[in-house]
Amino acid sequence: MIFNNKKQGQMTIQFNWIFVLGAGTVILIFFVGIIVKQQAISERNLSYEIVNILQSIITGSTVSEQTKNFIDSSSLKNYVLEFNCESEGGGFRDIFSGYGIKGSGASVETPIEAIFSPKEIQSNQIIAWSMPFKFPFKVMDVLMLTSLSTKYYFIGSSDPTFLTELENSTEGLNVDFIDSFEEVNAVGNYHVKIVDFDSGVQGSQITNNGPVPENLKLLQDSQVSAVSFMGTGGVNFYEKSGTVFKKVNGAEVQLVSIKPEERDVSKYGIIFSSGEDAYKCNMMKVFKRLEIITKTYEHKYEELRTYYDPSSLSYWDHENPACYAILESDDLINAFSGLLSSSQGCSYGGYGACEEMFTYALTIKDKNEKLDEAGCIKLY
Amino acid sequence: MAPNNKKAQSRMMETIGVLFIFFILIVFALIFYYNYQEVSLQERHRELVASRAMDTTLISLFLPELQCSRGNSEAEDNCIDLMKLRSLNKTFKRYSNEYYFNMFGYSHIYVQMVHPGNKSWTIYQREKLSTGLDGNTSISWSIKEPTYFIVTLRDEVHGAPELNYTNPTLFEERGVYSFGYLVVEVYS
Repeated sequence: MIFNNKKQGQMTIQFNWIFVLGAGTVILIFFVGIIVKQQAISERNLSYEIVNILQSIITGSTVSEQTKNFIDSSSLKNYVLEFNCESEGGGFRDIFSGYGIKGSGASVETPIEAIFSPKEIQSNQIIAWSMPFKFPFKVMDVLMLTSLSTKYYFIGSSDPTFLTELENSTEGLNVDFIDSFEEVNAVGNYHVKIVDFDSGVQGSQITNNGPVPENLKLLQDSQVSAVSFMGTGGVNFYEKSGTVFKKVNGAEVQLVSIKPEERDVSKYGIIFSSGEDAYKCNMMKVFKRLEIITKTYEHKYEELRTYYDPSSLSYWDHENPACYAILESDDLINAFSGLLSSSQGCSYGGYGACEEMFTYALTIKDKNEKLDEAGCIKLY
Repeated sequence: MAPNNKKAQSRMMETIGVLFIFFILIVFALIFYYNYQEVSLQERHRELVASRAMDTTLISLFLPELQCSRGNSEAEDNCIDLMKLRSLNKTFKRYSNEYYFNMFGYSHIYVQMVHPGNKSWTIYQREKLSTGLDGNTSISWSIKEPTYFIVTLRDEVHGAPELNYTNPTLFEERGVYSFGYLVVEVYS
């Protein structure tokens, strides 16, 4: 009897222990599950938060013309920001573009914002530099995005005017003007880019299969790139492949610009973009906007023509026949229709179809100056 | 044996009772947490809409399609060129799907002239709509975040197109600058 009672007591105690252990494990698993899930949610939320903040910064930087913003990103130094712009078919409609945090789903699409940047940024400080693209009227503000850990080396002296401008304008950026590869030192940089202004002329240092600077040989291939402005006016892009540079574009990329006195966006875009595809893709966004802006200015042009028309009543308001003569010139009419149709063709056909636009833009610029000289209302 | 059995049974019941209350408390905590999350999510959503409204206003104010230009110099701040504005609606409509929806999303942007006249120009309008089973479309936004910004309106042709060229003296009465405000309403 006593033995039986003892056995039963032991059973009860054992059952209690097993029950408590089982229930405890279930409860523990439940809480661990919640913690793990919450951690994943927090990390995802943080990524989205970062991307959202970045989006606001980029929007703000883009609209403030000609400003350089130094953004403290020390809290993001463990994250790699990824920028991407591809245009499969070459036209505006084929663009796939965006940025986000590498390895996470947090990303933002940028189908219309032109952002020239390295492929990846990991740094304590991000630099956002906005520049207006004018053709000849202002088309949009484009953004040059870089970081303190992206080093730019400018080599060569073939374009002294642009080099002087570059020396003044790149203050605060991680840049160096050098005479030879021996001066290249890449310590502590996430990416190094060499920009050669002497290519195709005597003293050219970056060539296809040409050697990579000694101090960059140990870096990973993805960490080194180069671009060369050719004497012919075109541009070639290079990537590091072992100990040599490999040219990655086919034909030379031609710049589409009306050569303003300073801040030639098409040139700066080449320097700051990650490669040929990214450059062309971002320029396609600019040219699409050009098509729309041209349409807007075409309407303004029509209104001005009516206003200055000697047969209209509004002629009494100014009585200036010179203005109508300038506005009625065939050159200007053709320039507007030409710019509109060529920008349309360009946004459908891709970058290769954009090169002829600048002649129309130059005519509009010239006529606008003439309107100014004659004391008329300007087009832009 | 019977009292021992009863004792064990009551202990078991006690343990089950404690566990039951414990789980009830967990359920309460989960319900509370879920409600808290829902409220904070709504708040976050409102914050995002407000941030989008600010971004949209900022973009609208600096649109080259609207801004008063000054040749090669920087554009005039907070100034809208009426010569561009008058025909802008047509351009925006044409490129709405292809381009401007990516810029403004679901929103309504318009300019209201306050002085000397009282005129309004819609630049962009796209409301969030849903189609019911009966085929009728209805508004499907719940939050509207409006932002207002005072702007000057520049009209170098003194309102010539609106005056319809019937009265030459009116041109002199109309100044180059008038003022109004830009309204950006963001839907979510």
